[in-house]
Amino acid sequence: MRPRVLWERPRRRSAKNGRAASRDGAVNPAGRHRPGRGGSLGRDSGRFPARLAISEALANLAASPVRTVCVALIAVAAGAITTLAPGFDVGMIGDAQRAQVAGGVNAFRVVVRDGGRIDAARCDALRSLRGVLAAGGALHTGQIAATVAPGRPVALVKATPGFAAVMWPGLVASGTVGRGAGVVAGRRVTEMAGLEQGGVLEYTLGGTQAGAGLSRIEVAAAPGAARVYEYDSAVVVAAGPTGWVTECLVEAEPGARDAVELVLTRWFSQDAGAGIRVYPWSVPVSGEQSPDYLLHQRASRWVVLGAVGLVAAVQGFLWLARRGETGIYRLLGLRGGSLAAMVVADQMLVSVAPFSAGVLGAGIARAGDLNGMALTMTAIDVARGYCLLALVPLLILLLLKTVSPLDAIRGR
Amino acid sequence: MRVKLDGCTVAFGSRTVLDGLSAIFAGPSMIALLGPSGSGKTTLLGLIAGLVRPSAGTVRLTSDSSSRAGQLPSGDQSQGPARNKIWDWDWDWLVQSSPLLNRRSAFDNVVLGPRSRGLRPDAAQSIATAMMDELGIGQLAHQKVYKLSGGEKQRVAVARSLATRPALILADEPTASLDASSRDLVCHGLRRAVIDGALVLLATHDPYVASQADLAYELADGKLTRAS
Repeated sequence: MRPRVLWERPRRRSAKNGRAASRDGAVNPAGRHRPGRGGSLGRDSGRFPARLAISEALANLAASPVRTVCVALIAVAAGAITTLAPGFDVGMIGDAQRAQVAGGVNAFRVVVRDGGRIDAARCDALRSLRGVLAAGGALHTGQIAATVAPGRPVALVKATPGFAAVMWPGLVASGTVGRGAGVVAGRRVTEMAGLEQGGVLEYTLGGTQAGAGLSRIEVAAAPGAARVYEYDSAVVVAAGPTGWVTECLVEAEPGARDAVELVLTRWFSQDAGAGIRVYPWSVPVSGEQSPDYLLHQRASRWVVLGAVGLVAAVQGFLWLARRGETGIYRLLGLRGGSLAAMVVADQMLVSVAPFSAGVLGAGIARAGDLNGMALTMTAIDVARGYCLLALVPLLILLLLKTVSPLDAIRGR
Repeated sequence: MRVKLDGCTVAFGSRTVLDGLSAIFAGPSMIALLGPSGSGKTTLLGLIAGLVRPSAGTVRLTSDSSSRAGQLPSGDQSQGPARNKIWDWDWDWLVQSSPLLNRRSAFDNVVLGPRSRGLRPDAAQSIATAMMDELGIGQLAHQKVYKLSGGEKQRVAVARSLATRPALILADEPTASLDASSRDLVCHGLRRAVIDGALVLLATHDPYVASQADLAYELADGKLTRAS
């Protein structure tokens, strides 16, 4: 039986010899193609058009739903972690900054205009670590011997009331100082002597013989460990500061300058008739502890690289694993522009869109927790993520340069 | 389509598979290449496809349909993957297990052929439907390829090839491991390609398949001789 002719090869005009030929044809209801008629069978573009490449990319994704979903989930996770990581980093840096503030690293220097002086007691009363030190702080230190723990020296420190408050921050909260205890025993002293709140410590001054010059003192037990380890083994006796100082230091975060200035103006208004000036002041910290350095060196900048790198690795691996499939398309004429369209369409669906979903989801989930700096860092990292994602199709195209129709023929 | 081999020699190490082989294959026709295993049939097809580079001689392909001529250089040309030239040709390759998109339906695979040539979807679908019906796989149109048997897959590949209408089909044992009915349908498809104007070069061991060809050559000791 002679097979029926279904369609004739569309003939093209030769670029070399200029022979005219019919370009297209039509299909009759029986499916027979008639050359030279024009109409529905006409070519709509060149060989393996980009539109077909895009539709094939979408169809291939739909044909492997499990693989598509798994790959998309990786991209979602990459987007989420890219969004969340800067928030954690900035939070840690913020904690470090607050620790620096608590440690007296960041402070404001308060001076009175025209060389005026400040009441040391008012400076001490601010309970600012640096302010307390400026107001006198620990004034005198001597050795005592507690009768309950002979042979174990205890330091007796005469200090301003503010000194004890800043050395044991819990004192202010518990109101111990406010009740006028006036004497605070460090944690190790209270343990050694078996003291309780409001207990009495018997001691002799250092160098005196046992029984001679015995003193008794009512002490308040320190609420916890002292900021400075050595004061755990000390008894601090409050001695009000007297006199004047030329400056007072108050710890606060650098951004709080206006509020600090307002409060301090009122606080020192009795002393400083001519008004006060507030200047930023900080203990010089090493470059590796500065917030700018920490932000620059934050780990999250590598997280985005790792997350998008994982997406790129998975995508590259999958495309290479499907090299036989790509080889078939190349056998059928898929070339540069159309191949790029296919890869980009695929990546838009399995990388960029899920990555965006991850960014959006994580952003909504953590929106309330992100401060300005965290938002800025997140925006930077997400932008970096998109820039890196834009490179993934290029990487895939580079990998696919090694794929030829031979891969399809050889069944790779 | 016309394939001209001029003094082609292919050697793998000390073993010479094709020895100064010269021949002209002109389409439309179906030409069978016979010979025992290891005689060089697949190497000859690979040489024409550009998969194998000759150590001497040239392979020249000309086509009156595209009016583009390509020349596969002999092995003394040092640089450049000259075989890539052939990918610009209107050709297809059928092997024992022809490559298909396994996760897609049989119809998707077949329709991809004419679509890749720029035909509009409706026209491509008409052609694909007709080809699949002709090869007896119309009822499998919506089956995923990985669910098909070997013979059915091979017919899908032939249907795609016919729907694509390549000028040259290189078929390397396309009916091996097929049952008689599938073999007949594949042969029928290849004859259809010839009627449509293609040159079909068919390497086979099967005398029945060879009997379907217009011409048969025997390959032995690196030489090509007309089979009786």
